[in-house]
Amino acid sequence: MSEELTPTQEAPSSFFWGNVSALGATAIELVVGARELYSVFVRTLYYVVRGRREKGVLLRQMYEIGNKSVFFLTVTMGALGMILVYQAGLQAARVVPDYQMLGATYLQLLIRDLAASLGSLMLATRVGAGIAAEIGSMVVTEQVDALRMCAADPIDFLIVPRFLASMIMTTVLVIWAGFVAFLAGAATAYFAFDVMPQTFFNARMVTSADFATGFAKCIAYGAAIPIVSGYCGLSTFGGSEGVGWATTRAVVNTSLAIIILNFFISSASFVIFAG
Amino acid sequence: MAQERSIEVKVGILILVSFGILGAFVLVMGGLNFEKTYPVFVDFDNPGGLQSGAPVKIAGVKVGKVQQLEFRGGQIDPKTGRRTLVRVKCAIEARVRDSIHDDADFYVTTQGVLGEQFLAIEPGSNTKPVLAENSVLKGIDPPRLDLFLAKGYELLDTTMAGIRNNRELISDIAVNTAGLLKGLNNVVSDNRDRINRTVANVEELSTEANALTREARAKYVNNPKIDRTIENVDRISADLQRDTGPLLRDAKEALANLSRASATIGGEAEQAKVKKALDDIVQLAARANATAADAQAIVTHIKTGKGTVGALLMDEQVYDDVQEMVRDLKHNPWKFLWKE
Repeated sequence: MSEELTPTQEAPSSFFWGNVSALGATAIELVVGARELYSVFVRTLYYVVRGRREKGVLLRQMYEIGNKSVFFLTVTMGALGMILVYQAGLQAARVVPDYQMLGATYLQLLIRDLAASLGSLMLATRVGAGIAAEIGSMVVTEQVDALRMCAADPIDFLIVPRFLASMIMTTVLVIWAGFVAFLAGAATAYFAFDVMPQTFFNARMVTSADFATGFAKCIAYGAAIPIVSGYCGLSTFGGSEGVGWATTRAVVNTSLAIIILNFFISSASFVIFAG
Repeated sequence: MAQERSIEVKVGILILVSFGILGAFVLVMGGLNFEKTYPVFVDFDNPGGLQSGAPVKIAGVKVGKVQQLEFRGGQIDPKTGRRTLVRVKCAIEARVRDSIHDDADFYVTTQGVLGEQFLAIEPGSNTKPVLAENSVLKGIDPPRLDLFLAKGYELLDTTMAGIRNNRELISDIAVNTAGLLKGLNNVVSDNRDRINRTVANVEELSTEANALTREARAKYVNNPKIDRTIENVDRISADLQRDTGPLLRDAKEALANLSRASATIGGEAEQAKVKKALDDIVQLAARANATAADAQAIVTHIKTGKGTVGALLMDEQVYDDVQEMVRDLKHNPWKFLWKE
């Protein structure tokens, strides 16, 4: 396509046309990327149903994604919980110096959104980067090509176990992350604003709609992380530099995917459960 | 293999812990309560922002929750005979059943200034019976802050308008009041000495009155004589009270007698008869009087010696003549037959 645009480069406004061509190239790249991502997703779903299962692979992936992320998530979500409650308390003190509903609103927010979104963002940085680096280096070292030669689809062999493990372990880790964030928030509320833990632990604002939304987000993010980062890994080119790029792209795109999904799921939940 | 096993255990533990947290939270959120509850219905005209699931509290302690809010649209409930707009069904824990009585008050109130609303129970008095299951009560509606604000705003508006429209009048009043106060101040400061004197006099007077009162009390109130008098009066009144009974009984009896007598006479025929008899008696008495007068006249007549009987009784000469004649006859009996 760029060859077709070459005659216009000699025009007086070559700078303008250059920008336009860059925009067009980006758009085409995006469309192609989205189509490939979609194809990876569909093939993953296909192999989840039809694929061959190698024993112990799923478990190892669950261990890699789940157990090895517990410490990281506990630290980050604990810190985030403390910061969130502390800032919310300071803001609340400006409006009404009444902290009775601090815990209830915080818990609702956690279950509906923050535990899943923030937890998955944290997870995406660690798990997504790991998946992209692993698959990317396999692409670079032509292991993936070897798989293809053995008539084994790398998606079935590499992505499906990570996909399943990630969906399960993201849900598990988000529950854990929410728990930690809430405990950290309760401790902050007690030490910073003298809110008793029994006052803070107020589940009255939480409805089953919040639970459904949170659970939907867990599943969606859990599915998005391995697919987006796996796609980034599979589309690696070049040497070790390409692996680095693939890792970066994986983290960026996974985070972006989580935020976009968050927007759509929150909107859908707002429509379905009428606020 | 051992490593595989340890991975399995670790993954299993993480999943178990996570779902354990989730399960525990769901149980807590569902307000899982193993206490038995009993339903009570409370009618409201406007329960404010009360929601189903809101807690029911006695003295700030949670004892149940609001299960359902039913809009009844002001229909007359045949059970209570009241128009009910909203009926709140609440489940109250059975452990507090004995402390809620028939006259308990149910009202909607809030936690803190902007907190959520809940149903509070004022348990009522211990003398009343315990509130029965499925009872329907009338709740106290929460204060309508919006209404209060609306009315308050109107009041404020009216006041402001009044002030604005009567600005001159109000300023006149203020000026006059200020002048009055100034004049009063002048009067007070000019007559300070006199006022002081007056106050001193009043004080003296009150002191005297005080002394007087004390004296009067000593003399008239704390005096034993008075006590005695009162005692006597008391006794007399007691006697009187004691005697009044029999006295009244006697009087009653006399009255009854009288009543009986009058009843006997009662009839008109009897009354006429009695009247007639009385008339006769009067006539008789008049006649007797006349007869007595006649007799008196006769006696007077006789006394003066008039008439035959008078002469016989009153004239000595007649007696002498008769004596002489009798004596003469005794001596000369023939004279009966023969005249000399």
